Order: sequence, then C-alpha cells, then structure tokens
Amino acid sequence: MARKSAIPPESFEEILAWLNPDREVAASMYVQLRDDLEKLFTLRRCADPRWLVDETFDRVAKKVHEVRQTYEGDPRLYFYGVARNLSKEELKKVKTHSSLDKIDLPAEDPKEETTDMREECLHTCLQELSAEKRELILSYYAKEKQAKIDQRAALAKRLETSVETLRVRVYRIRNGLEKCVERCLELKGQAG
Amino acid sequence: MKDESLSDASLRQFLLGKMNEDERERIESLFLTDPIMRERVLAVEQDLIEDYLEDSLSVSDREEFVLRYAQTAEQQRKLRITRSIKEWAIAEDRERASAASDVGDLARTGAALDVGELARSGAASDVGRSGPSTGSWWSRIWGRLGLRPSLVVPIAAVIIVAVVFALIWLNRWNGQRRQFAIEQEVARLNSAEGLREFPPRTPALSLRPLALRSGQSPPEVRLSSGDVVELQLVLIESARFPSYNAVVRRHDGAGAFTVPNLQPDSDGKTIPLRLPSQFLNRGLYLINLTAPAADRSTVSVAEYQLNVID
Repeated sequence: MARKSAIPPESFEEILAWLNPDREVAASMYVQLRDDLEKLFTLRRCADPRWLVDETFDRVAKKVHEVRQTYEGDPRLYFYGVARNLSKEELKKVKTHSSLDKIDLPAEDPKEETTDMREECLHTCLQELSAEKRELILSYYAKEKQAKIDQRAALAKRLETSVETLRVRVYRIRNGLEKCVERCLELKGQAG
Repeated sequence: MKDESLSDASLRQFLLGKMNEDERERIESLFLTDPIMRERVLAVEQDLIEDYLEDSLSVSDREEFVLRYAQTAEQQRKLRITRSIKEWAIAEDRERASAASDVGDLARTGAALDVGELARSGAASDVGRSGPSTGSWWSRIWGRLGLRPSLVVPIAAVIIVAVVFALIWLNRWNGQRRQFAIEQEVARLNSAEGLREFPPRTPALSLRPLALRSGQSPPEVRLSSGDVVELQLVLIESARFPSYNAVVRRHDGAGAFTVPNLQPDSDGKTIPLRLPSQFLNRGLYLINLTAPAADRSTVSVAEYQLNVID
C-alpha cells in the first residue's frame, strides 16, 4: 500500500550520513537496508511489509539527530530494533482486531505473463550467462529429490568446495538470472 | 557478531518461522549486517523454494512456506520464474542424456562390424554380398567397408547431427565475436577518446527514468538523423555513484549490449550515452542503468525507454 513519505530532506541526508560518510556507499546501503527490512517483515508474516519499512524509516528520521550523537555500533541494528518493535505492534493489532485496511490482496494482473513469454525471457537471459555459469545452473537444477541431493554433493566435490559454498555460488548466478527475466517480462508487458 | 555455527538447516528453520525469538533475532541482525550471512540465507531460501515446487516439503513446512512466499502477485511471479528455470534444467539434462544414449547405441552397433568380413570382402572383391548394387565403384566401396544397410541410416543420422551441432556452435561463436566487437565499439565511442574523435553533431535526446514518466510515450529517435544517437540519461536525485553501466536491449530482448564505465556530467545530474546507429534497429529499446556498489553487488539505478524509428 502506498503512503506519503514523511522524511524531511535534512533527516534523509542525516540518515545517509549516519549509514556511511561516503554518500554513494550510504545510498547503496540505504537501498539494501530497505529491501532487507522488507524481507524480514515478510518472513515475520506482517501484513504490509513495504508500509512497515516506510514507517520504520519515518520513525528513525524523527530521532536520527539525537540518536546519532550517542548510538554506538552498526546503525543498521538501530533500524532493525525499530523494525522489530514495529512488527510486534502490528502482530498485536492483528490479534486484537482483524483489519483489511493495510492488506493488499494480490490483484489479478491483466498483463500477467504467459508461459511462452517467461520461457522466451529465460532463454534470452540464459544466453547472456557465460557457458560456465550456464552449465553450473544446469547441473545444479537438473535433478529432483534424492537424485538432486546426490548430484549436488558430486558437483561440490568436483568443484572442490562444500555444498554450502556451492549453494551460495549458484544463488548469485540465479539472482542475476531472475532479475534479468523479471526485467524482460516487464518490458514485454509494456510492449505487448 | 559473525557466527559460522549456524547451519543451513537452521537457516531453513528460520525462513519457515520455526525458531525461538532469540535465535530469530540473532539471525535477523546478522542478515542485515553480515553480507556473507545474508547470501547464505538467500541461498537457502532458493533451495527451499525449489523444494516447495517439487512438492518435497512436509505439510507443516508447506503451510508456513505459502504464508510467507506465495501471498502477493510479485511472490507468485518469482515462484513461476523459479519453476521455469527448474523445468529448463530438467528438460535440458534429459535431452543430453537421451542424445548421449543414442550415440552410445550407435557406437555399440558400429562395433559389430565384422573386421573379418571386411578383409574377406576386400580380398575377394565380392561386393555383391553386402552392397546395394553390383559392379559399380560405389558398390565396390560399399563392399570393402562391409557396411550393412541397417547401419547406414543411423550413421548418416549421427553425421548429420554432428554437422548441425557444429554449425550451431559456429554460429554461436560468430555471434559472440560480433557481440564482443559491438561492445568494444560502443565502449570506445563513450570514452574520452571517442568524444574527441567523434564529437557530438546532433543535440542529445533527454531520457527521463521510467518511474518518472507517468505512462507517457517513450521519446523517439530517427536512425537517419546521424551515425551516432546522442542521449542524456536523467538521474534520480536519491542516489549517485562514481560510474555506471548501461545495458541496452530491444523490447524482445534481442541484440543486447552493455556500455560500461559511464561517467555523469559535471553537474552529476545526467549521464551522456552514445549509441552507434548501425547497431540499432527500429523498435522499442530499454536501457537499464546499473552501478557497482561498495560491496561488489550491482545496484539497479533506473530504467529508460527509447523508441527507434526509421
């Protein structure tokens, strides 16, 4: 659900400066922090994670000037503390009364992608990967159930790494692939 | 506050909400502050999604999963994309296994060639015994090789498949070379040397980010207007980076190329981008502007659209 941003520009600048003295690094951390907090709200099954992220930043913005002077440690943990308390408040509200005010039900998207569009985008994005990365993705996802487990153990051994490290390596490639497919689908949705 | 004692199994429990509050808060704190832990959590999450899609989760895990990962349209789209990747990998693997099996069968069949027959047919010039015709040069060769008619078709099929794969590989290699050449040319054009060698001859077309355009039609540029399409990408104020990369592609995904290391103008509000007309075709283009972040990840900065007309 959209909400009006209540962060005054000077507070926004102060938040950035608090995150990191280098403004470019701070901007990157700001964006990442928003995404990460949204993920944590989702994992806590909060009704409207994006609204809660905005609320978290609004609350921090109101106090950032004083908090900065005395807070020690990673500022992201301060944001986390505010977010954690906010999530507990929200869950209490849900328990005491059911409200549909901030719950966005998944709307039917008339431009929802077809299987063909998705496969076409996937094909295009796979071609943009190096052959080595494509092969790694293929090997990692080629099997199911127990065969999958065995395959991944064998793959890790062949690459002289652990299954956990292999998982992270594949995650990085998959993440890029997924974003490529999403961008492609959005383009097709706009062009179609 | 780093902690390497958290196993992937415990991270899985965290993702399904099956952890006590203290442990959950510990992982959440690490997720925000430790990039390695963050990647581990997201990697475990990908495997969890995969298990859900292949119906490997227990009933209770499945319920918890759906409550967290399949509620919104965006989440459901991500699940469909993951399913597509999985289906592609399984299909590709089966195809390769099938092709390898066919070649194996042919190899075993080929080994059944009777060398003795070859020797005998060569010495006796008895081409009529195994050949399709008698008396001709071809039938003599046929006889010498000792080929049975039942082997001809599979061997011919293998040869044809090999030729087709070779052509596909050659085509891909040529495509990759062309792609490399395009990217080299575009990078040179957008460098300081390129600006000196090919100074702008036409006014630059200003492109505003998609997020700010409110449904307006994309700006148009004519291919016939010059050798180089001059663009100015307007930056959103919220984030600035020392350099940027632009991925330029048509709406159908074809002909994508990357322009690296773009520098903003002195005012920091726009980024000049120059594209050779020869690499563009008529149609809608998307330009995705990204920037390298301090933690080596890539930040998507903005997207722009451009309509190329004749």
